[in-house]
Amino acid sequence: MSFKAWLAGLAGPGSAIGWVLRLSMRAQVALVVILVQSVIMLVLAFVFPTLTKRIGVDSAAQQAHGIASMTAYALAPAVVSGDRRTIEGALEIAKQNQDLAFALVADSAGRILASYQPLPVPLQDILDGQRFTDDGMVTEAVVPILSGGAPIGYLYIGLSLRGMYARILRVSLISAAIIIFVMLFGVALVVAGGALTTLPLRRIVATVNTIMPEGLHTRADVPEQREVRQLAISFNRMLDRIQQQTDALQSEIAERQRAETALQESSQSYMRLFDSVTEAIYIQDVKGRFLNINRGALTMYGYSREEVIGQTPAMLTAPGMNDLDRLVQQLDLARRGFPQSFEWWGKRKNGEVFPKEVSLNRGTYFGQDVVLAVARDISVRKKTEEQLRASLQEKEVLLKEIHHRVKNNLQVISSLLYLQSQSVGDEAMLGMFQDSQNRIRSMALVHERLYMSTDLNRIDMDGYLRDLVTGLVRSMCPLGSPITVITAAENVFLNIETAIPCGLIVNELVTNALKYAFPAREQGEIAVRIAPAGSSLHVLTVRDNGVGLPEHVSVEGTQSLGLHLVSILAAQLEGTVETSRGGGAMFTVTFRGV
Amino acid sequence: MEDSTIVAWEICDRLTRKGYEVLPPVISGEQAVAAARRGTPDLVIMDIRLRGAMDGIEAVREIQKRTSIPVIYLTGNSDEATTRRVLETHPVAKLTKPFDEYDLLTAVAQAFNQKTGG
Repeated sequence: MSFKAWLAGLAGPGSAIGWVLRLSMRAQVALVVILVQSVIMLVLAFVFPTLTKRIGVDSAAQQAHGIASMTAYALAPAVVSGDRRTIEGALEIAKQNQDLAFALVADSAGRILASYQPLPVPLQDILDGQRFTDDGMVTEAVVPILSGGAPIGYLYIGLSLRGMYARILRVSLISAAIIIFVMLFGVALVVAGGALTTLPLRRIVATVNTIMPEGLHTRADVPEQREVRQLAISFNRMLDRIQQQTDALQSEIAERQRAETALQESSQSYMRLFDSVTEAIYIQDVKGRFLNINRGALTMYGYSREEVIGQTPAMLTAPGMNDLDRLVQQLDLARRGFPQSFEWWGKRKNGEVFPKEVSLNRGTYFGQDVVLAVARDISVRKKTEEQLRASLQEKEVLLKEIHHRVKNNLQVISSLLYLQSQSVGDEAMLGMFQDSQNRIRSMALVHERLYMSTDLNRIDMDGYLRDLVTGLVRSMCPLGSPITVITAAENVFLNIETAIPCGLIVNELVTNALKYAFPAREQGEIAVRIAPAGSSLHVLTVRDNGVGLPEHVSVEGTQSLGLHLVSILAAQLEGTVETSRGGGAMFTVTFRGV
Repeated sequence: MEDSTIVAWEICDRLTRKGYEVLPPVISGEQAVAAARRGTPDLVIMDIRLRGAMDGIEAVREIQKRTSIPVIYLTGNSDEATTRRVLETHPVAKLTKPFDEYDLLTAVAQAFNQKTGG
C-alpha cells in the first residue's frame, strides 16, 4: 500500500479520522481539548504519584538513616558500659516517632541488647544484608555504633511508609478532582465559545438552507466580525453570480427546449411526408447500404423496415436481369452530383419480379452524405404501354393494308383504262387514256410509298419524284430518248394530303414538257425540284430547256385539262403558280405543305 | 398469276401484243400448279399474295418440283422473311408494284434470254 493510499485510507469515510473530519468545528475543538486534558491527566495520575512516592521513600530512608545515626551516637557510651537501661531509654525516645515500625540494638558479637517490636527474621540474616520486610511499606536503616572509631555494636531501625502513602493519596485525589473540574470547564468553555464564534457562520448556513425553498433572491446578513463579514459578502457575491448564471442557463434551456420541440415537429413532419409518398424512397450511405426506407418501399417490396435497413440494393433486385456494373457507375455519378434515371427490374419478398423506374440523387441525411433513390412501380404502365404498342402496331398493319388495297384498286382502274384503250384506234384518244393512267399511277405511287415506308404519315418526296418521273418517261418516250429528267427533293417529307396533289401537279407539268417542249425530239433536260421555303412553305419548280411556252398559253383560263388541273390543285394546296418564258419554260408553284 | 384478274388481264394483253403466247391467268396457287402441269409454260409470272391456302412462293416451289421453269414475282410488300423465301426459289426478277410495261417486258425478255442462253 502506497503512502498516499494509506493517507487516503486514514481520512476515508469509514475511518476514525474521516469521522472526526466530518464533525462540526465545535466538536472538533472540544475533542482536541478533551484529548489534551486527558494526556495531562494521565501524566498527573500516573507519573506524578510515582514520582511523589519515590521522593517520599527516599526522604523516609534519609530520615531513618538520620534517626539511626543520631540514636547510635547517643547509644555509644551506654553500649560500651553495657547499660541496658540507658539503651532502652534511648529506644523509648526513638519511639516518639509515630512512623517507627521497629528498632533493635545489638553488640558486635550479635547479641541483642534491646529491641522494639520482635524481629521478623533472624539477626544473622540481617547482618548478612537481608531486609526486615519486603512488602515495600517499611524503609530500613542499619548503622554501626562506634567507639573510638571502632564498631562496638549495630543499630537497626525501620520506619513505616503507610503514613506517607496516605498523604500522597490524599494529595493525588485532590489533584484529580481539580483536573476533572478544569477539564469539564474547558469543554464547556469550548462548546460555549464555539457556539458564539460560529453563530454568524450558522446564520449563513441557515441562509443557504432558506435559499433552497425560497430561491436565489435571498441574501445572507452581513455581520460585524471581519472574517465572517468577508465570507458573507463573498457568499452574497457568489449568489449574485449564481443567480445571473442560473437566469442565463434557464433562458438557454428554454431556448433549447423550443428548438428541440421545433426539431421534433420538423422530424415528425419529415417522417410523415417521407411515409406518405407512394413511391419507394431509399436513403443509401456511400457504401450503398440502406439507412432508411419509406412506407412506400415497404409496400412495394413486402419487407419490414428492420429487414431492409443495413442491406444493399441487391436484396431488392431481380437476379440476372439487370446490368449491375452500370448501376455501380450510376451510383457513383449520383454521389458526385449527377442525377441518374433508369429502369430496373425489382424483386418483391414473395419473389415476384417487376419493372420500376429509379432516379438517383445526391443528398444529406442527418449530416451524412447519401444517395437518395426514388423508385416507382411501372408494371401497370409497362403493361399499358405494351397494349398500346400492340394496338398501334395492329392499326399500322391495318393502315398499311388499306394503302395496299387502295393502290391495288388504283392499279385495277389503270388496267381497266388500258384494256378499254386497246379498242380505241384514235391516237389522240389513246393519248388521253395514257394520260389518265399516268395520273392514276402518280396517286398509286403515293400509297405504295406509304405502305412500304416505316412512317405512315410522311412521304419521302425525293424517292417518290424519282419513281414518278421515271415512269412518265418510260410511258411517253421511246427507248433511248435523248430527253433526261432530273429530280431533287432532298429531305422533303410531305403527308398524303399534300403529296397526292403535288404529285399530280408534277405529273401534268412533266407530261406537258415531254409532249411539247422538245417537238424535234432533240436533246433536252427537264428539272423537277421541291425545296422548303420556310414556315411550312415549299417551292416546286418544273423547268425545261425546250422551246418555251407559246404566248397564248397561260395557267389561268387555259383550255388544257393538264394546266387546269395544275391551277386547281395549286389552289387546293393554298398555293400560287407562276410561269416564266426565258430559255425554255419554267413553272414555280409555291404551296403550303405539311 | 395475279390476285386481281383485271390487272392480270392487262399483263396478258400487253405480253400477247408483244408476241408472247400467254396462258389464261388463274387466281390461286393450286390452280397455278395445275395450270403449269397442264400447259408446261416457259415462264411463270407469279404474284406472292394469292387467294387460298398457298401463297405464290409455295406454288412456285411446287411447280419447281417437277420442272425448272423460270419465274418472275410480282409483289407489293416484301418484308425480309418474304424476300429470303423469294431468293430461295432463284427467280429471274422480282417486280414491285406498281410496275410499268418497261419493267415487265425487260424482265420477261431477260427470262427468255437466260433460257435460250443457258
